[in-house]
Amino acid sequence: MTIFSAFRRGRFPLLVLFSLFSLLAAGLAVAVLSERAIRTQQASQAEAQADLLASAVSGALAFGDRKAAQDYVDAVQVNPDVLVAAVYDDQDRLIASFARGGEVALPRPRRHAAATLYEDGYLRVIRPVEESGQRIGMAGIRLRVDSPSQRFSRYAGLLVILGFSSLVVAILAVAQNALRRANRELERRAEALSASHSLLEQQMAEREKVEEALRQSQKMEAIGRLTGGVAHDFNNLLMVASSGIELLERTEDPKRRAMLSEGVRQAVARGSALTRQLLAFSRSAPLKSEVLDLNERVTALRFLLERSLRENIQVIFELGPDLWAVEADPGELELALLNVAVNARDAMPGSGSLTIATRNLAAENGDEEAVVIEITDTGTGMSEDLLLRVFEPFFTTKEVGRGTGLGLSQVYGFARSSGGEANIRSSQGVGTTISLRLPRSRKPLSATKAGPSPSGAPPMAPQDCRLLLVEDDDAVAASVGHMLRDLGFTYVRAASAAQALTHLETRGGFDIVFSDMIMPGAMDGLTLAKEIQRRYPELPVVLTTGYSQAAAQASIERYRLLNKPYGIHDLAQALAQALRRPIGGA
Amino acid sequence: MARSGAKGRLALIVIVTLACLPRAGPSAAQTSLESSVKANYLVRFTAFIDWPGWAFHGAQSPIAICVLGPDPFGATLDRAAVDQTAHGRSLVIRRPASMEAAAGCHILFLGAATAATPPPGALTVTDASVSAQRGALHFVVSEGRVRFHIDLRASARQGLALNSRLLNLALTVEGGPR
Repeated sequence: MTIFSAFRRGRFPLLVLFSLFSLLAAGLAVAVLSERAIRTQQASQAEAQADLLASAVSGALAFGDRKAAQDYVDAVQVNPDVLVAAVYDDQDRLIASFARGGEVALPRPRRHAAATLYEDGYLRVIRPVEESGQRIGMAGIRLRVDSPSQRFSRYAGLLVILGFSSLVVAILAVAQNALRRANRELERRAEALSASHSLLEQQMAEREKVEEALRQSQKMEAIGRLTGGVAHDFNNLLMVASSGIELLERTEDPKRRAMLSEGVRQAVARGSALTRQLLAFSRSAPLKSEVLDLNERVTALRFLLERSLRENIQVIFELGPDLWAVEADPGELELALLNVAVNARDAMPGSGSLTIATRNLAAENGDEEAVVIEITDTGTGMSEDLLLRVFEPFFTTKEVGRGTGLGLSQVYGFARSSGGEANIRSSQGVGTTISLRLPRSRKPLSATKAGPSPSGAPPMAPQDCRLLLVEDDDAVAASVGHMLRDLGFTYVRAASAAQALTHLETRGGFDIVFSDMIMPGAMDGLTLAKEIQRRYPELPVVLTTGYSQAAAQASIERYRLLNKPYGIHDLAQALAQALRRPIGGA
Repeated sequence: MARSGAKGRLALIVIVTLACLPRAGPSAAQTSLESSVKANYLVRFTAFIDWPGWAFHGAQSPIAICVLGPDPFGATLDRAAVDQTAHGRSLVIRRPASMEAAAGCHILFLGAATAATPPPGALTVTDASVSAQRGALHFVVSEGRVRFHIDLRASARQGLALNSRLLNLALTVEGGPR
């Protein structure tokens, strides 16, 4: 933008305008003052010269001595500025004069008083010639003073400096203006940037949530697909249990009763283990990489795999020895294996076998050391076209209602996010092999969960141990009550959190609280635990639930948790840990 | 006396005119222009002479220009002095009958040679065309112009100081430092 448009838009700061005008005014004042001083000096010099001439020439004028008068007039010529000098007698007759080339002699003076006149570029000084008060004549000189152009050139330097400083001030002002605008622009951009940044963060958080939900729904889908097999297995277990109880009622032979009750116990234990695994699997947990032993994980899943596939499908494990560790999220790994297994089951309408093999893969061709897990079925296989697409999300060969097409895309996503890759080989009529290649990790193995609960007779609680049981379900409360009594606890049952608080207030003297988490009413188990901790910080609380989400929440809040279903051993162990003393003594 | 003066003047003019031809003798013909110039000079001299305080009766006393003896100027001198001043004093023209009567004169033009002593404070002015006698100032005609000689001793005797500018214009200065 030019200075002029800056003026026009009124953006020129007042201060700059003021300084510009001050500069101009100061320059003007300096010029005027110096001009005035120069003029005064010129005039006084010229007047002195004229006075000198007038006084010197008086005698010559008085006595008409033209020669002497001429001598005096000529003496004035030494001043180069004097262009014309002349003296007149009292009759105004020109007595003596000189004029430089080009100049004309002074005209007869019109007045006889002393005068100093500026006449277009000339300075004219007239002095009367007097002696002892007697008027003798006139003397006049004319001097050259500076022409306008000379005066201009005298102030040209000043003008140039003024001009330049004005320009500098103006440029500074414009630059400052531009800077200020640039700053404003920058601020605006920074604001926009931070706005879009927070938008991005929000979107990222949303995306994380959506991904979380997707993973969860993938799990749920996998569980849904397992349902048939699991239900079948449960039927078998229930069959064992119910027939066992019926037979128990019919026989009095202690040996046979012991055998039957052992069979029922084993069936219940298997069912419990199966639901525990299902619940653990369906638990919603954030993605967290751990250093894993693949063999250990596959073995842990064996039970669920065997139960969820059909009986006419044989599961074969070919686990390689001394398998290297890998780094992956265990939940995702389980889901991937389940997805592959379920796909294999669906590819084998009749009988068949599913082989899960693991082995180390040495570094070669620039590939790093890795662990490979291969799942091979003896199913129908698939065509080349399908092979190219099976890892695509939502691609499915199944009819509507039986699959979402997210299964194998989860497998692929798991492999990629663990730094590895997923491959599929298939030949029609022979079978399909899906292999996951995960890079080797040299980190130490993450701590695995506690081993199975100890068997044998459960320990007994001390006789004086009072327990508050909070459980809304009467049947569960009754069965837990049996176990508590067997363990030697004296217990009081509360059917809700509010009632539990009332008991704590009115009866008192409890050593421990054992509470269900999901209960009707305004207060759930977790809230109750918090309230108890607030009121009675010394009173230990153990929570229990069969609901995975509640369990996750409780473990986040660092409460002792016992997962349903649990046996008397688990219960004894959990309560003993909470009481910080062994139950039943040593 | 006045009558005889007029007769004498006529005679003098004739004599001067005649005398001019051989260019000899102390006197020369007196033209009206020449006498007018001299009358003016008499008036101008007042500005270039400093009189002592005692030469005046009072602060306002005029400067007296006197013509003793034959008067070559007549009304010319009176006209030249009209409205003129010097040293803040006005000028008067007097024509004393004798040297005694010339007391109080400040400039005394001697129209004829005289042996009488001029009164103090009076500057004696003589004219070569009248006589060879020289006063403090002595008119001559030189190169067609009226000039003058100065005798500082005479002026000093009268108690007078002459302006240097006057001295510069003199043909000669007697008794001066130069």
